[in-house]
Amino acid sequence: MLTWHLDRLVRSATLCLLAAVVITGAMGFVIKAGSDVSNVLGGLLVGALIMGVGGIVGSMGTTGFGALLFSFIASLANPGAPTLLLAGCVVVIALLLVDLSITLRRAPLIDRRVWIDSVVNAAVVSALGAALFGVAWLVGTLATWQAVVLPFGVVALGYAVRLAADSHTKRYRS
Amino acid sequence: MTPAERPPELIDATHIMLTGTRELRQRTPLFNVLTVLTVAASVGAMGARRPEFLGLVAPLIALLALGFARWRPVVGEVRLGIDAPHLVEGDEFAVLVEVDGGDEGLERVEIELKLGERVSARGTLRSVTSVAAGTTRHLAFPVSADEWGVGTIEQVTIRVTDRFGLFGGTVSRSANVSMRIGLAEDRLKASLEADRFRRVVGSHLSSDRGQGLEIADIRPYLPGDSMRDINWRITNRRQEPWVTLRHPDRSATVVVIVDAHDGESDARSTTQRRSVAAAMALARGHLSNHDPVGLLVVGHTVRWLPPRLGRNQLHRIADELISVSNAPDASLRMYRPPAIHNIGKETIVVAVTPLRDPLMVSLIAELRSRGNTIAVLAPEVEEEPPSRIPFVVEGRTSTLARRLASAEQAVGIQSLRAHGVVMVPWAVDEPVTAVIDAVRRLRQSMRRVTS
Repeated sequence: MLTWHLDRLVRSATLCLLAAVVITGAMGFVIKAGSDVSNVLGGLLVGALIMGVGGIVGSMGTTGFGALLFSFIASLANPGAPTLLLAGCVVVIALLLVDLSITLRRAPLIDRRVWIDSVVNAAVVSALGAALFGVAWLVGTLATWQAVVLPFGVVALGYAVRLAADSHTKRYRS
Repeated sequence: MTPAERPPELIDATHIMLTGTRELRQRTPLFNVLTVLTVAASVGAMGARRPEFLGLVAPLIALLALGFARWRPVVGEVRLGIDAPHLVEGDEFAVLVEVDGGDEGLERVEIELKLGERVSARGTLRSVTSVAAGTTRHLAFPVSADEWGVGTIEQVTIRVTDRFGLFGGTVSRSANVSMRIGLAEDRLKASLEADRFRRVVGSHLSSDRGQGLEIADIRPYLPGDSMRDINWRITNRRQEPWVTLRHPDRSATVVVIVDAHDGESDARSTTQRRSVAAAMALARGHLSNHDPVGLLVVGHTVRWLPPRLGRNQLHRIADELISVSNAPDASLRMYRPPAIHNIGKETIVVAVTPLRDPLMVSLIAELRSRGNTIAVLAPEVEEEPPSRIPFVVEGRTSTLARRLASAEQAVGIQSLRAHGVVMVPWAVDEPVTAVIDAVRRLRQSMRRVTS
């Protein structure tokens, strides 16, 4: 019974939550290192802790608030494009980890494929996010395009959401 | 697949279809959080004219895009059953769950079981798994059968999400899986071998006080010996009359009547369980003394087991009583069982009933009028707890009806006592052995008075 309790404490949900807080906290230090704005680290750590609290209470809303705070303070820190991309990847991975920790509460039996899928998801999302950012950065930094990219960007974003929603609705009806 | 690798077959499987279930087509909280973050960060990046802010939002957009691209309607099925056809107390068995992934597969499935009475978990009752398209995942949850009766798995909760946790939902269904848990073999053996119940249940009069079947000794013929006792083989060998001495046959046929009428409330259900426990103790005790024991269950159902000997009879009685302990409250009407004509006049009858129904009173009176020795164990019903709803005024009619029923019950008990039926009230906190002992003492004292 003792081993079961230890197992419950140190595995799965607890580990996922700990990992989420640790990587966002570590990301806070990385952002602080690349930023000359003062008092950034405290805000970033508070954001990371709120995400952790959201995982403990099983509320994705609270976790989302922590992620929003973290992202906002990270953008204020002005650390540079690669660091912000890394921060974005960390936030997404932390969100996935908190979601997984909520799923894995009360020590269930866990299939190995769940772990493999989670790792693959994090890697694929990070890679795709980086590629997407690369394209956006390329377009955004072109001098001739800089003036037009913002309005086109808004339209493109809205259109993408519309397409995605339509696609979802069609499948839902099917 | 070798036989060793083949998953065990599900017994009494329950099927739960996931295909087309609306509850599984919801957006998850993670999706909502990602959408809010994406919109906020995108608007911020564009408003501030800072393309590097898109670094924060690009992974979020990537995750949402992947989620939309890979979303498929949930197709699948969950089957639930157990791996053992026969269970006895203390057995460990597995609740088997088969998750069929359908054509699309189920990328993340959580299964959680909720157990009912008489069974308990030997580990976790949750599992998180992933099922590839066209395959079936087999899960086994270890469970132990704690107590004799009908054990149930009350509910199964299934949560299905897509690979990224963006779409999905939860369904909870009644599992409808039940298993009959028999008495453990060692308990049966103990009850059939030991003689301790003789002291508790008490000795009863033999139906035949003459010769038994079991040979005790042989000796030369003495004047007064019956001619029927002469052992002709030994007489022939010794050339003088010898007789066989036999142990007196002290066995008596016993029929236990169980009132399965109660059960519409918690308190009455408890009374019914006590009745069943007492009936089982009586049956065990008498069978351990090689008395043929029969069972008559009356109430919303009538069941009759003719008196027999042996362990198999105890198994049969236990099986019947399992049904009583889980009988639905199908009817509040008690019917006069036709089986009472099969109860012999020499049979000792022990009825376990609170005597709330007049038909039960008349049944016992009828048996007594035929000359049967009858004892009644009357379990007292626990007081109903007061209603938690304030200002509930009980109607005058129901108060009068309750008083009338109580008076009728008292008259019935008085009438049975007058006819020589041994009545033993059984308090809620009194152990069953003590009350059976009380029956024995009362019956002996009544016999002394009448002789």
